[in-house]
Amino acid sequence: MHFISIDFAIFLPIVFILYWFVVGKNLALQNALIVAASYVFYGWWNWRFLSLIVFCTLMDYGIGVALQQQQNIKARKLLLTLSIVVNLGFLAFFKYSNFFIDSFVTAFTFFGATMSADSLHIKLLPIVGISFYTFQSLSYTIDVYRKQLTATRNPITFAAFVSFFPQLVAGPIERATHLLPQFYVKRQFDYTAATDGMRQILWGLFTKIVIADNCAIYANQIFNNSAQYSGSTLLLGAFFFSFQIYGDFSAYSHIAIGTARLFGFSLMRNFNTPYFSRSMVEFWRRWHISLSTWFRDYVYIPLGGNRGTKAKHIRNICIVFLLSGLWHGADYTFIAWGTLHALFIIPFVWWASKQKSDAANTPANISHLGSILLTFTLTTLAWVFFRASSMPHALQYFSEIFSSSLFTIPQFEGRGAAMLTLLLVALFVAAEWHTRHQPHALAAAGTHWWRPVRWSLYYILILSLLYFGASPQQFIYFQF
Amino acid sequence: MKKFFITLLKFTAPFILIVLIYCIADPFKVIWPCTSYYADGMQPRIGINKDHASASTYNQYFSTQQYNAFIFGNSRSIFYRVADWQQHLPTSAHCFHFDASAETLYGIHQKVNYIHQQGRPLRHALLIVDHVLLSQTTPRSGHLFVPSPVLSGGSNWGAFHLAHISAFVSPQFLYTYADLKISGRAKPYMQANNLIDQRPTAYHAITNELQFQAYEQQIQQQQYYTPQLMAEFYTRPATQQYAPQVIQQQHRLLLQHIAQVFQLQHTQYHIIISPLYDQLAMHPADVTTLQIIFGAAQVHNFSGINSITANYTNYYESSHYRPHVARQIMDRVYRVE
Repeated sequence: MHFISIDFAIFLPIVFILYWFVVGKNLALQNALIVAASYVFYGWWNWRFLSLIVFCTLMDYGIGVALQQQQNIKARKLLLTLSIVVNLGFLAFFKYSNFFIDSFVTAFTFFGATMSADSLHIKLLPIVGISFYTFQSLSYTIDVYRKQLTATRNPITFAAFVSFFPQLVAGPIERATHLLPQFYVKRQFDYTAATDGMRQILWGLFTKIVIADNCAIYANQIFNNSAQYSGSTLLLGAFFFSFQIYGDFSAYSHIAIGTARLFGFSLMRNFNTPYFSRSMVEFWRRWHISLSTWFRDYVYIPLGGNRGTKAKHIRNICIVFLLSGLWHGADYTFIAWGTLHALFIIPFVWWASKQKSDAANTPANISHLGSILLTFTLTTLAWVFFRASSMPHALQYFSEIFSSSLFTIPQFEGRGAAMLTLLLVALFVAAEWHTRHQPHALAAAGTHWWRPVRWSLYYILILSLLYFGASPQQFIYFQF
Repeated sequence: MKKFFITLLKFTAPFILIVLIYCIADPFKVIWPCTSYYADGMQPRIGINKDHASASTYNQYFSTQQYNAFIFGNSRSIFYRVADWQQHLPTSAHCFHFDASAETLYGIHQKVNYIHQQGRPLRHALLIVDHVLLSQTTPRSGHLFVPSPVLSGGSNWGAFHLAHISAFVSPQFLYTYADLKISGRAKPYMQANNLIDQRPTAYHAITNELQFQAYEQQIQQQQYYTPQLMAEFYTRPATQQYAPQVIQQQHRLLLQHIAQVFQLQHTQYHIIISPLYDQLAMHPADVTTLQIIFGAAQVHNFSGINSITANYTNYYESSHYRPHVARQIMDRVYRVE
């Protein structure tokens, strides 16, 4: 079920009413309702998806309980390995098998063999959100193994944690240490949290429907016909894609966090105005925070992190970014995207002092404009790999950007209407800048502004969904 | 919790009011049953979703008319008059114009499938297509084009009404609508914005036929092709140009399913590729695909440079050809048969 659908608009109030009015007094029933609602939400795409999530849930629940009981180090390692292998095995099979087949065939063809990848391809159902919930479930078994978390004995509670519908298919990827304990305590309805959740949902809808979907029109047009356009138009296309993907993904997180707040849950922040970052290191502390911190805690630090030699530190960064690229998609373009980000970060590792890398903790101001623009430009260029349909496409795109046609006026169909989209993007950036100290752009409006002004703003945003809303596009991150 | 619901109710009150007005006034004729979606003459009318008008009219009159012959297509197909077509069909044929504004391949497939799924007859069919129509395999958006929930079994009911409510609450529409209701007459700005249509029409609900007789009279009186209109008839390349190839795998699946239904229904059908003013010939690969799927004898290609497209007087403007052209085409198609 999509967040932006009539189905969800009917589903959410029904679950909300059942949750607070019918089972509100019983914690176990509240959790059971969450599991049932989450399975309906997920099965709405395809009921066959449910078998995998149920299997992963039961397996990790069992492994969690076994890890809690088991004191033998070897046996504990074996149990953790089982969880990792099965979870990542499913992920690899459903997401990467055809990519591995293609790579295999390419390698064989290179050595003179004749093979057809198409005949070897496995017809698989693309499973929505598999990358998200397998990582979330893995965080649980790893944390129990590390004894940072006590395993839950209640399978319903654990199922609710794995399948919690607001963040099931596109994150934030919650840590068991943060989300699971929230299922242990009875939720009380909190007016302030619920209304703020509604505001965050509204901001998410605006970001998705008005910003991302409008940017998608031009990003798709320019990327899909890139051979026809000049370097300046292609750069503009990359710019549109930058805001499409940011608007799209941050919107999902806002809606997810807002929805969770309606049910008395607090989810982690996933985006913290990443396009105002002053360096690539800072960008990764502000972009898809739940994934970055997952890789930090479960891959980067176990590999040694920044301890040891600089060479080891750089190796660890390269591994994390390669995996991050691969996590996003089964294609060389995603690997190239991850590698490019690693290359952007290595100079900081080499030269930057620790104080500088800690800059993300302090918000940017206008004096940082130069470094913000530089970081944004690098990020935008890297997105070309992310959006391109293949490596040759990405390279063709870059070769045109870095040609003399970069210094021409962009020309493409619908340029006039694109100006309106650019204006909307400018307003969006201004709103994000003004509220960069807040969890979301409407947070301050909810507490500090006079009600008529506040409500007028909400009405304007709702009407803008109707007036400026482009053809609905699927959330990009569903494919991951 | 009580406070939350009271705040929510207060906040949504204006929206509830708008939805109530939308439901009661029903300016797009999508809420309440309607015996005739268009009025005869010069009365100003609000642009409505033709897909919905066609589907609702078909359902409304099917029990009495027992339709079994259909003309499918976009607005270019409305000039294929039922009276002209009827001359080529047996007397048992009961014709219905099953068109939609900016019709798509998706829309035609949906209509053919709907008739078949309802267990209703489909003995004769004319598919009036062009490369633009064939290229579309997904539903269009916008209140004038979003597919009718009648045909989808209600699955897009929400999206359909959301599109209409969105159109209704736009300040431009609300202003125009209020002005029209108060003044009772169409003003030039309303027509310029395409919100209100005041073209002289004749509508026959039983066949769902919309005719523009007054234009024909103006042409007879040599008052139609004004210098302003002539500016629309742009110069076309002297050599034959081709439309891009549009039929891909998804298109092929929809076309094959249409052909399959025709086979099951023993439908006598013709696929007419429209003679468009742009003189772009349909891509040969697409013509071949249509011939393979439907049979070469059933596909009639009038696109490209030919005697019809050469003469601007065969057109009302650069998009729509006139009824006499449609009549000629039907004569040629059925004479061959």
